[in-house]
Amino acid sequence: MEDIHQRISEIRSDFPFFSQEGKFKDWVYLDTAATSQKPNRVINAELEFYQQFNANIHRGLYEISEAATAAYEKAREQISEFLGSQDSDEIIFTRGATESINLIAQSWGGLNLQEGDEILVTNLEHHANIVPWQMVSAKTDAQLNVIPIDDQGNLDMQYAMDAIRGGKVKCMALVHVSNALGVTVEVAPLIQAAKEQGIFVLIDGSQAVTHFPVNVTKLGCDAYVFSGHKIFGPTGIGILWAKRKVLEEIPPYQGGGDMIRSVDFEGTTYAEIPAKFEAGTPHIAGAVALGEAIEYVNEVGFDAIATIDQWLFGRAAEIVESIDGLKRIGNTLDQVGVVSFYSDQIHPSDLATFLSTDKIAVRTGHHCAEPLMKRLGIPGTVRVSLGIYNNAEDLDRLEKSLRSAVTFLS
Amino acid sequence: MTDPEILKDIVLSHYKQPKNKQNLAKSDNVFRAKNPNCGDLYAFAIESDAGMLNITHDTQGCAAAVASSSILTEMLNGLSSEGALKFVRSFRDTFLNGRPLPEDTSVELEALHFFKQSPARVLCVDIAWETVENALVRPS
Ligand SMILES: Cc1ncc(COP(=O)(O)O)c(C=O)c1O
Repeated sequence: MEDIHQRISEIRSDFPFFSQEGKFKDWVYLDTAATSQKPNRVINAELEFYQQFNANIHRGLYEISEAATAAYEKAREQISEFLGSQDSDEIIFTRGATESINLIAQSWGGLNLQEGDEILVTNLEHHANIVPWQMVSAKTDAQLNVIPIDDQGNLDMQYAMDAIRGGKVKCMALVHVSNALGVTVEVAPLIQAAKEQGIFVLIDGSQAVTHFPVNVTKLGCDAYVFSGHKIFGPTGIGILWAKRKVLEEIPPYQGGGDMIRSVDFEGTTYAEIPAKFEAGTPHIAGAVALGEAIEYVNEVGFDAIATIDQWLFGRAAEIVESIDGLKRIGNTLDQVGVVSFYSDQIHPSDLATFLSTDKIAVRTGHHCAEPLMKRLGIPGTVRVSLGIYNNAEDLDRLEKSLRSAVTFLS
Repeated sequence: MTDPEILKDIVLSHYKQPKNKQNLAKSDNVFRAKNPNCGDLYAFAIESDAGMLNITHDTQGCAAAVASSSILTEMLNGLSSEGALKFVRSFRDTFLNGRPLPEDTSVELEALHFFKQSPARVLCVDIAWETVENALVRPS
């Protein structure tokens, strides 16, 4: 690659947030794991849809509605290709990763789980991959089985393999990359072992799809989910990919318009997939803009993304490790996008408030992963999360502010 | 309006050397609360001697939580139960409703108002006052 800083600077100029003249001019944004900033072309795609193509989809026999439908369906194709799916009907538009997981937990879990069955998750999960399973467990008397981690967030692979082969696990739902620690879970061997046992596998790729290419066909899982807003797309739109066979077997999640073939007060026949899972008017402009975001990622390319990610992570980790009293969590090379740390002396909220007065946005607390924080024995961490638009100056400012925060607060 | 740097120093000194702080493990009549956002724990023991309050705390948390608890005890100790309740209600009213500070506000209370800049930190300060208000309204 040409000079990495030059490339970052080009990427950064695609994001109007960083050249704004508004209230948050000159802020350092280090909370991309919570939500990413949006490039111009995504913002413009949404704008252009509303300005020029706005009509409801699948309903009108006039040309505008047909064009809106075509734009919506094109986004489905783009996402299908992005995930390496063989069949774009396997892509369901949802509100986000949370809704995608709820859909699978309710529809697949409600149909297939019984008393005594286990749902295997990790101790790294986001609440979005815990609570939906607890809700279906309460109805079905299935139980959660949690794969433990060590102090640095590495999964106990032996425990996982034993559980998979233990005969009780019916469903495995794993985070691909932890939002709280940035640890990448080595999902491939676990999926392979689980499929040998006929276990249903869902992967939560919310933090993975922005960092490395994912191919659901090669992975061999049954379902894969992510949110549009974390990959430069709009909020309110997300993806569930699941195998055709699964989507055809399980009942619909919500009822309403667009998801039916015919309705009669005596009974209703459901539409084919994907319409079966898209009741009501979807976030059409959001889907179109998400398609554009995916094109943007393809254009930047995962090679460049990996190079930038590696540099950003290395620099941020080095900053944290060089400051006395700060403890970074994670020791693997398999971390990406997130540097999470804490101090025995200084409360994470105080560090964040201090950084905020220097116009630096980081996240603190349990990051929607309370069971993980309990396991690590800390109330929360400070999380620096990185996007391909963060530059060397951002991290220099972080370093300076963190150093003075630690001096001031301890 | 006091210099923000002075206000910061006041918060910090109450955080690093909190007043009226002691281990309440053996006390009865302890009123506890937890911040749902971060898990910080607040604890207050309220005693009364000849009609005058003596409040101690054992709050474990961020600077806002600890300084708020410390300043609260300094403000309320020595008041009657009714006087303290009135004080707490008036503080919470100005603090939560964004009213201007009265002329005679002590610099300690002004320092707590520093956290009003951040809605997320308002709760860190207020939980202490809310806990004590509830305790004063309904002594156990
Ligand atoms: C790993 C992970 N899973 C699930 C979610 C939930 O995503 P959303 O809130 O967009 O539905 C997030 C977002 O924080 C996440 O990081």
